[in-house]
Amino acid sequence: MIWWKRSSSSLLSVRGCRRFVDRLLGGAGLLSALLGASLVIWMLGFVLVESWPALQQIGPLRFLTDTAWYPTLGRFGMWPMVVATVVVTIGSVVVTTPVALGSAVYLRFYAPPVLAGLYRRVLWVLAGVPSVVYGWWGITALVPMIGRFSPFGFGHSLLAGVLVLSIMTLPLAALTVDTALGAVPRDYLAAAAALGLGRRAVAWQVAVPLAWRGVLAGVLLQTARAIGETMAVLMVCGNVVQLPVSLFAPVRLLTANIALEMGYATQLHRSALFVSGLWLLVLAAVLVWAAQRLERECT
Amino acid sequence: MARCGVGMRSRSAACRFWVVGLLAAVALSGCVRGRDDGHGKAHAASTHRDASPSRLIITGSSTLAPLVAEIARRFEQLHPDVRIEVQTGGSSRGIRDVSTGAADIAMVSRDLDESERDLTAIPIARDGVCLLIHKNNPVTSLTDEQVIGIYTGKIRHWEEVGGLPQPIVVVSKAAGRATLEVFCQYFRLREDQIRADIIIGDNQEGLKAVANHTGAIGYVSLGAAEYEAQRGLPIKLLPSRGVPATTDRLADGSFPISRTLNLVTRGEPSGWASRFISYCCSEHVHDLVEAFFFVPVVR
Amino acid sequence: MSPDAPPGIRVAIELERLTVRYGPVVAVRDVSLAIPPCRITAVVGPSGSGKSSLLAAINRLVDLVPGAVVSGRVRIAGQEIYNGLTDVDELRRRVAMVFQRPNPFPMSVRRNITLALREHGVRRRELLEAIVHRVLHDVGLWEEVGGRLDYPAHKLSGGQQQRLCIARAMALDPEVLLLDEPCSALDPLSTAKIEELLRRFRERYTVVLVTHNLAQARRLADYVAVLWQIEGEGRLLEFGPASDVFENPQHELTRAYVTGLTG
Repeated sequence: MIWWKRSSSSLLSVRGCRRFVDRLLGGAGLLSALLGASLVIWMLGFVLVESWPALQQIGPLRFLTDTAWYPTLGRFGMWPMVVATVVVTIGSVVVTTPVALGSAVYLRFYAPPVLAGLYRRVLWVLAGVPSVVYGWWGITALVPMIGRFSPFGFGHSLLAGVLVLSIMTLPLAALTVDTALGAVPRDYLAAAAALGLGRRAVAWQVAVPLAWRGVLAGVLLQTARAIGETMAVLMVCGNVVQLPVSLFAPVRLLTANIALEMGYATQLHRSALFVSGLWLLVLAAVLVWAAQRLERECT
Repeated sequence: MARCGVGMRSRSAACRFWVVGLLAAVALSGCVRGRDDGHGKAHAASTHRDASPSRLIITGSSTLAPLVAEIARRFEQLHPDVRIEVQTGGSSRGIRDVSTGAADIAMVSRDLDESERDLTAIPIARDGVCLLIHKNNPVTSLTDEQVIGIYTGKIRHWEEVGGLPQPIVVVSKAAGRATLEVFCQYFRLREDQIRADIIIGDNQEGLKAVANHTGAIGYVSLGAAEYEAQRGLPIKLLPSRGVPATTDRLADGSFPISRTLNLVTRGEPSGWASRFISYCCSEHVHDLVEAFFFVPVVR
Repeated sequence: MSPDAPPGIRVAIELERLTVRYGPVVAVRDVSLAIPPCRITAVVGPSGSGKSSLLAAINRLVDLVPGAVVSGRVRIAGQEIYNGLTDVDELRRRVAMVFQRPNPFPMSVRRNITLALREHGVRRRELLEAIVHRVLHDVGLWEEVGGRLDYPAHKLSGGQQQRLCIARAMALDPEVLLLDEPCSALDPLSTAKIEELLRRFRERYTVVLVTHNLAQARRLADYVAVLWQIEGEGRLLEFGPASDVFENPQHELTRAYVTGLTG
């Protein structure tokens, strides 16, 4: 369609060349998009294929109805781990959100610019600390501390999991919330200031309510990410498969289940662990879906 | 109008993205299913056995596999014309593979029984499991009945077995671990009878958990426990049936909670299999055996 | 100063050699002006002549711009506002501002109005409701929005949003109303409604209206200040009663501007 134009003048041939580059870039973009999509779907397919024997031979229902998790004895109750994973995630969001919000509001509205810059850099560094380090801190400092208050006499618990997860989540959550607050249109801030609202009111009455969904979406996404960092949680949660009856009770999360047993599992046991992975994918999908919904309604 | 157009376009692009991704995924998961089919691998490999370089297939116990894999690596360096393939799948799989000729050598972490008399077992190492408590715990020994009582939740306080007035924190291992298997076998417990407070994965976590709680009791690989105790970790290794938990007593066969790790062949070993098994029993690999916290079998 | 100011005070806002700089850029230089109370004063001029900066200096909103420096004097009812004693939040309550683009908060109509009131200490529910009613009546929104005070503000039309912004400002019972091209984003019908409003407010507030719509200035203004960009800096060309500036401009540039030859 364009070839005759290209030959008609030098100007148009430049345009033709540009069009060619456009197509090249478009093709490359499509290719990388394809690669990304197929990787994700390949992974999903892999987990499905691997968990298929368990789903077929044990049946999907028994993962919920079996009373306990003794995979080597043919008992595959996964429900307590699903509940524990959800509870720890919610707990972490509840702990992280106010702290991240407070620190981000301080950054945006109170801190002198130099200090804010410094603080942001510290947060970035903290965000890069590997989860094992947090786990190590959890096991040497946090768990003994909780153990002193625990009615059970030891600190490996739901609470320890929530706290370690929160601390891992906090730096990036604070930065995401900071970005969400930064995205509040200047118009609103100017309007608020022009109404004689003080800094506190501008921040908490105008900026925070406006950024609220973005804030929650950010915290959700960061929590979803952090829960995948299995090592820290594995080290402090106690890993007993039971419903979380108390903050101080040990629990096992789905991620920890995989990490604990995968190296030594065979046949159906191994396949059942992939079912844990499937559950995790479902939970992560729910989290991301919720976060995206919040973000979309936010704009 | 223009805005609407953009929206439509991105939607159709997203649509294309997913369709192509889905196709790719179907193709890929087909590959996975075709390739990854448990035992088929060993069979396929064994048919090529006569081709040069020579090939040894070893399957079986996941307890032994990491050690044998390390020895195999060293053996291959000495004999570049041999390729050794080590696969896990449990002792029973090893025996089955050797019986059918699918594997040359089986790794078996138990003694052979009557029905397996046509096979030859050569012990290459011993694996012991010892009970440990915190160093400050005044208890110096427990009878087997007391240990069973503690691990089944019937005994919950140290006072009941002559210790301090504090609750017992029971540390156990995750499903599938060899240590758990040995422990259960010795005390004639089923996995689902154990009432644990903390479930750990590897020996290090177990040692750490006991060292952190004065009221804890746990069991780990004897070699690992002795090594850490000598390096000053505040733990105490409990004797079993009056026999102190030391690697010397494990090596001479007097420590009761132990098992023999065997290499098994059909009939008498010959050729490369024979040479490899001899190498596994030689002093050249004692450093590796000890690195995995087993004790070499001394002849 | 209040709407019924004592007759002795003839000047509501006094600018004396006001200069606003943003870093190296001088937006407004050496502007001296006496804006009379309870009149509409229009500030006109081409874009870049410093109209908005001048306006933002009057309620110290310019403080929000990083690197902004204000020199000279600004007095409101005789009180200097650029000194450490000024309570800026109180100043902004007294000197309300309406922006070019309607910017109601994305909350309910009611909350848009009560938010600032609460912050300024009005807590009693009946009083809050009464004020909401009064200001919505004043801007003619009451009939249009009716009982739906919980209606989300951002779902109103552009003109309604802008009138809500005016109502929001009026709720604080200010003395001065600063308007920064309040109709430039609106259709003619909405513009007419707002102009009607301003005409009614003339008696009650000192209104400063920045506009580049000369026709609007002719329709509304009692006094007119003409700003011009000279050598990259905003300068005051001329100030006086609207009739003088439009019929008998003193400055060549003003003459050309008001007759539509330049600008």
